[in-house]
Amino acid sequence: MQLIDKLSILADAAKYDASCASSGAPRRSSKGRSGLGSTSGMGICHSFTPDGRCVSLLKILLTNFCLYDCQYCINRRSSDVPRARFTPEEVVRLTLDFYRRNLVSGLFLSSGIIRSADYTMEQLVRVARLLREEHEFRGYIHLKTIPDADPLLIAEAGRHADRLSVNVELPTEQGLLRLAPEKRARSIRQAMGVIRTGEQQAQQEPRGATFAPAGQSTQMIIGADASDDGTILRTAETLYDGFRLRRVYYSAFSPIPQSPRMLAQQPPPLLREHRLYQADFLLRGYGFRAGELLPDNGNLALDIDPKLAWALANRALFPVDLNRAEPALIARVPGIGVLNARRLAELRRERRLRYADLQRLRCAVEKAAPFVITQDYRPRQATLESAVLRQRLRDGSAQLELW
Amino acid sequence: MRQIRFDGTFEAWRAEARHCLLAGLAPDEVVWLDGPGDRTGDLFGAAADDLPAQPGASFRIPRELPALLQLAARFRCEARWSLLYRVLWRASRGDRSALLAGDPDGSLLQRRAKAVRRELHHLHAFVRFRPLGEPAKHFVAWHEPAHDVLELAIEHFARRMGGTPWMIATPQAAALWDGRRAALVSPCPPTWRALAQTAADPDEALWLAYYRSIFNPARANREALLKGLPARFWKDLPEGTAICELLVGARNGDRRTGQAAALVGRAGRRIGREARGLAAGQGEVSVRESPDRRR
Ligand code: SF4
Repeated sequence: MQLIDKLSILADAAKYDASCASSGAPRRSSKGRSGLGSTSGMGICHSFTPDGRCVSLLKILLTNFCLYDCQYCINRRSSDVPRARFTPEEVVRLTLDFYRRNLVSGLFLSSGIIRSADYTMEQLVRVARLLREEHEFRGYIHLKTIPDADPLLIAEAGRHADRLSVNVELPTEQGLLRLAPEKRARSIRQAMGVIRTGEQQAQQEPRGATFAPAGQSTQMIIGADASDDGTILRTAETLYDGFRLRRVYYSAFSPIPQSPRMLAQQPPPLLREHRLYQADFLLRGYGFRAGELLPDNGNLALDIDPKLAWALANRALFPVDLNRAEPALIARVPGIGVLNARRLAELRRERRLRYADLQRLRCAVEKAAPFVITQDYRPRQATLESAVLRQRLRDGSAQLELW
Repeated sequence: MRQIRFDGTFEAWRAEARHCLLAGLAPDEVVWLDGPGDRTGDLFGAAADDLPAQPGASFRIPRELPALLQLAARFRCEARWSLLYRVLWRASRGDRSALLAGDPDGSLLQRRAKAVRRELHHLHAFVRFRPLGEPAKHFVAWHEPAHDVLELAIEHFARRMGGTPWMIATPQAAALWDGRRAALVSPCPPTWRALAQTAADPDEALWLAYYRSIFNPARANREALLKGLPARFWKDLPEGTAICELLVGARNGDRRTGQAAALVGRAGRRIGREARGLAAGQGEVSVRESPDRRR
């Protein structure tokens, strides 16, 4: 099979993994040295596909042959798709060729399970070792970690890769049992634990070898089983707390060729996925807890963003006086982000804040207005019922039609 | 009203602005004329070094201001320099809010600096190197930045490409790296421009195949695409021509399965439960070939 054919098949097989981040790596440079590649900590999107997703890494599978039968996956063994397998040298060649042309910032390599977990992991590690040792490649490498692989192999993966990831796939153990019969929640979490331990050891020896310096991430599929957003966010929170994950990715289940009948034949729930990312951002960047956003489980509202939903459910805390409140509370006001909260705190050291300052900082003024007090402004809507406010502030219906 | 002529570089402006500040010239008393291309003020424009400094004049400015001004000076627009002087003037009189995004001048300044940073990021991202020679020894690229950011990108690509020589040509200037040293050549020589614009890449088909396959038509989203990859860059990207075709394909039904159009209906392989040593070619593989479903 021609290289280009393999690439078509093995990129198509890899695209259901949402992650394409190339950020968080330590600064490396090839200036004045042999070899190729650099990292700066900041990720770069070298292109965008017409689904609006960033192309940052060459994201491919080593092979889409797979012994497992995960129902939601295009590569499951019962799936009737063309199969292919790269040699490690082919992956190396593609990575370096794309990198020199400035098409990508590195490689994200994953694989179907062939022969055994150890054998598969060994193959992935081999590609990374070739790149790093033979070609002195200093760009970004993200390796998928195969649960149940020997911790020694995971340790070697961590020495070469900037990021490692193990996908939890489904938010609950029952979901996994039903849809991914060969996978076990326990071995997935064990692999995460091995990575976490590797990170901690590397941190204790700052002069020793690095271990996945851009940390680990995972992915959950949304809408393949019946889990609600509360369950999903609580699972994410547990993973953030337990394994210090850098990111949890949410991937709306997207129809695959000949989907098994136990899965919904529906367009991917993109808006739901979008709300989950917003909620996840509130967990990571704003100090929210999952229980605050969804106290009684259930799903996030689709018509308003999760911060606005939280504010409407907690009207007693508002309106907030921007000239007095703690920056952390200002960041909890709908329409004002952490960055602008910091800017407002800076500005009020110079002078009193006025309503026009919100406009100048490009806050979402309409959203913020009912919840803030400034020197020259007090919301008249402060007495409006939350239901009425919600009607007024809901996102335009155009945005609801992502499909 | 005083007209100040200088060569259009930040360093020259900075020296002139210093004279003006020391002479106590308010922002509305100064007109900035940059570069030889500006004919209207030729008779009057002059450098500011003959301005009498006010006795005992000296000024202090916030430490982060010079870098911010220098960045904002790369923003291409008519009144590039007058805003910079207004901010400098206010800051030199102790008005720190002139730098802040909540201030009318500060917000304009910050917005320009942000646009410049963004354009630099675009350049880092969307430059496309094409190989010269077989095997490729040099890489060349053509790129059209909206602001004067090429100079800022040299270090990034030197770190990235290591010993590999490259050249980036733009309508204004060209940046060059021979593997050890960098140069910025302005204006860009026409022969370099032609070289960068006409270089062909024999491996371009690989990238296009990748781009088509990594796209998921079930998630087609034109607005998000335009936000990340503004249409003005499409013409210089090899994938630029594939975008419309892929969007149309998605609208016409490719989104039903999400599979890349090139693979839909191709003969597949189910894998038997007993399979071991898969794809390793040891003959123990059990796969059922399905007939080609393409019509
Ligand atoms: S292990 Fe499961 S999710 Fe991974 S490639 Fe195989 S079938 Fe797909």
